[in-house]
Amino acid sequence: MDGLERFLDVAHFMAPAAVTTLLVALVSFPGALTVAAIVTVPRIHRIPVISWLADQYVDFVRTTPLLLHLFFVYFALPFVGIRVEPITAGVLTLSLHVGAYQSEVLKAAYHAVPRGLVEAADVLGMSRLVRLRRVMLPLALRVALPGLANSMIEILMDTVILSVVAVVEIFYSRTLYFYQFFAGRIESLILVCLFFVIIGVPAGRLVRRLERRFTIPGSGSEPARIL
Amino acid sequence: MTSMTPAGASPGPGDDIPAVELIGVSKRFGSNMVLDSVDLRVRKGEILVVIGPSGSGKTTLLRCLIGLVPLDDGRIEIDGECVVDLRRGHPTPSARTAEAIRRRKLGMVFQSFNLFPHRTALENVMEGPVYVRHAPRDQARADAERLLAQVGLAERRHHYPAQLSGGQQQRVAIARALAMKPEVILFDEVTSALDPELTGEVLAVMEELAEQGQTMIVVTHEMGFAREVGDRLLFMDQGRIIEQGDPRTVLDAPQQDRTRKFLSKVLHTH
Amino acid sequence: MNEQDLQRLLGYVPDLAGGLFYTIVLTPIAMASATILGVLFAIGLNAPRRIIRTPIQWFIEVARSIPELVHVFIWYEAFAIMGLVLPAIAAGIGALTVVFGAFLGEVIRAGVLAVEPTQWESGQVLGMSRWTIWRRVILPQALRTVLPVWSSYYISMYKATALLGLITVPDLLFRARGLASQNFRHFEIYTIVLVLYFIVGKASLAIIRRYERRLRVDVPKSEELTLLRHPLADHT
Repeated sequence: MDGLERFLDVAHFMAPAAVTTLLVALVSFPGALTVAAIVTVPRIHRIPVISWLADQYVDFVRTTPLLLHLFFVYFALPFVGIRVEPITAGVLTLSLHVGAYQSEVLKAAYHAVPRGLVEAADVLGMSRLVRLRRVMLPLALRVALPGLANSMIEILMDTVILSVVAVVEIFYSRTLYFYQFFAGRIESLILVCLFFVIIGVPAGRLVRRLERRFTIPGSGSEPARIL
Repeated sequence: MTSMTPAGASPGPGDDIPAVELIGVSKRFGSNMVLDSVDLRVRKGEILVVIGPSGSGKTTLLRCLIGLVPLDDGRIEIDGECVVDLRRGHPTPSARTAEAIRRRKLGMVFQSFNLFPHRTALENVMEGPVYVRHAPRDQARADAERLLAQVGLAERRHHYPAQLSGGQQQRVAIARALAMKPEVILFDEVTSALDPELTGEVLAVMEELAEQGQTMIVVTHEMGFAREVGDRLLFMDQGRIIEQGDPRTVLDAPQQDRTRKFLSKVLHTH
Repeated sequence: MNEQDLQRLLGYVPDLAGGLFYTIVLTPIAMASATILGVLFAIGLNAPRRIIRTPIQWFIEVARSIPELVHVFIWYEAFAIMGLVLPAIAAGIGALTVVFGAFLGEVIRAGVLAVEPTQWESGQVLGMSRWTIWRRVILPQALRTVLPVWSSYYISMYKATALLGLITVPDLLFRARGLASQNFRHFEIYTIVLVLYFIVGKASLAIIRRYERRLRVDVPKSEELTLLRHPLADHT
């Protein structure tokens, strides 16, 4: 096989695994958001023991490696009776891990809503629910959106970790190709890089555009027009 | 508005009920007594101006009144309805009842405007009627447009707060408070965050409201406004009402030493 | 716990201590080299000429869109195939340097932009050369500004070093896998290792935060950048 032929052959071999990578990321994102929502509520409203636990959870995730979390879920949990498929372990790990980071984004967004606006809503007589819906969420989500979009890219990049528990995502598929044909290690690595660059570079630009777009008109980087 | 009773006219039915009444209202932050057993009655249609050095408790007075800050002691009545009574042996209404009364009767304008930055001027004014009063959208819009015209901002109704000057934002905030048709509007140093050349437009709007008979409690440093528009001037220091009376009398011939000291400081720097 | 358990747990100590040593030492080394690269990138991104700026921008954008694990294999495997055989530890540090250097380049550049433009003029008026202004005036201020972000990257780096176990660097995670494959007590070993990582991570964070406070002058608003694991500073 010459260079180009090998390249195409590797690409053909890896294509289904690339789809798996995307699917894992797609499934993990709502999982992470769920974790983030569950963890963030007690971190915002001080509830005695639960808030402390939630804070510790986020700290724990932020100071321990993702790879170790995956090993723990996949290799250690079966010894206490929790046995999951590699791909499930992967999705679970990614959700638990990225959810903690998203919780930081959500918490910061919540605190970014100025105190005075909460008071203004109260003075108008808004109920908690109306206040949340009309004032807190619209403002907080604008602040959180770039961070959440960024975490989507993070998840996609983190999926390569699943290769260590033999989930046939894009990075493990190159290993499989090599085992099968004893060739194409450079080609497959280039293809993996291309895959992430083609998705990651435009996505990163999009996130930065979101950052600008979702600033409230006139505030932030955009100069205020005083008319 | 039934509360339009010119001074000296014979009182009509219901007019003897004060718009706001405070009895022995106290509030402390830590060991600091911010409000020290304050008694106060505000007539319907009255323009009460509150002055005093910073930390004298005047802002806290407004915030206690509207429920942003809980009291430690005392009773507050709004238009004859009790919203809180913490005096020993007195029943206090539920938080829900108190909130409902405050929501119906009181409005507030803040020093820092606090407009919702993600909504246009018009949407800011419509927000309360639509999402709290559940007024029909069309009607709320018509009302909001009329109010914005009243504060001189009809042209700017589709601008976002950040696209408006401080004075314009504060006028929108006044329109937002008016949209809820409150019995009493509380003004908390509403011109303090404004450049001097912008305070005039806000004060003019407030003066117009005063002429229409709107009951107002105005915490301010604007002595000119106090003199020209106020029905009664109240000087506070260290959580107590030190002196009150006709604005001209208090400003020109203060009876208390502390008032004199404060006024000489304020009037000389202006 | 009986004596047998205790014996076994004590048996882990040499391995885990050795691994812990690698984990603890790798982070500052990799972070130091990444910071140097980041500073060079930041200076390059600030270059007046497009021909210097653009390729660096591209490189950073590409480098940060590729997962760390892939970077590690580029250095460990691809370079070896192409004839550059690096020791695992050197390949690992090289890979992490590039990834984190790219991120830090953008962060430090944002810090450079936050330095008052008049600072350049002040340096020029004193007759300083361009390089001296960078070294003595701009960088010290820019680095202080980005310190909170830098420390969150420090912790990210600490976590990322666990990847090097996959290319046979004998760090904590690598040793844990070794031990677990011998006695199959995965739960016990991984729990111990998780706790170790947590303790060292928390301690590092505490130490950094303490120095941060000491070095901090007046740091406006940069705190919010620490929220993202990989904050995306704007460079367009």
